[in-house]
Amino acid sequence: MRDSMIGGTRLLVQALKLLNLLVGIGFGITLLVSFWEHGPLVAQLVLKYGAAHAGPILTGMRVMLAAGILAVGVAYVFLRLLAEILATVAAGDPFIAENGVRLRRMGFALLIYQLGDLALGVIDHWLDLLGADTVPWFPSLGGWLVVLLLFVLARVFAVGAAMRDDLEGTV
Amino acid sequence: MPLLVRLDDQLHARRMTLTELSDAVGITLANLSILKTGKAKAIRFSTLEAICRVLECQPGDILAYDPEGEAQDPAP
Repeated sequence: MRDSMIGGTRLLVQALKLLNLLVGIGFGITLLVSFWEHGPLVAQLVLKYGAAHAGPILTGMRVMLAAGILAVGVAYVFLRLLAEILATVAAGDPFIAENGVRLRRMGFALLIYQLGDLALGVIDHWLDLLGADTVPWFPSLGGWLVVLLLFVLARVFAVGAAMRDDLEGTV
Repeated sequence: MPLLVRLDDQLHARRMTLTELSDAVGITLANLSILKTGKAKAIRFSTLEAICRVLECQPGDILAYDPEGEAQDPAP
């Protein structure tokens, strides 16, 4: 039961890695198309938002796409580390110091992601002020809590692994 | 480590094997072997107490400190 759950989770993480890659490719292609089709895109934006706002809105869109590509990179690091931890769980030996290091790196990856999310919120607000159609942005409080949780767990794993190491030689 | 484990001497004095000691104290043969060969990092008071009870000796009969000593050679 537990093994099948771990196996299922590992498959899910692999699927998410693939999905993440596809999203990254999608962002990349869209960003490139925004340069190749610069003229028609500007014409469409001028038609919708007026000449004064078309340029800044296009810039804002490109910045958001570039940020999206960076977020995909961060998510890849996060998922790779998670897959490595799951591999140790599947092998039956997860309480090792390396997993503490991995959790701390996952914490930093998510911290970068959350800071990027804040920056996107600023850009979103700026685009909104220009009158562009945007998706309402809200800060991800859950994400910040997970960052804290990961750093705490990393410490717990580091201490736990050191204690286990001590106990291993105790008779 | 300058700590010496003299379990072999005590076993020999009482004509007892490690397997018999293991049965008597309820500690696995593997763990007693780790202790005997000087590979243990630490010993619980409960382990020491059980060994002393069975071998009718003092902790000092089993453990010794030699400041000049290096890592113990594992027993064959």
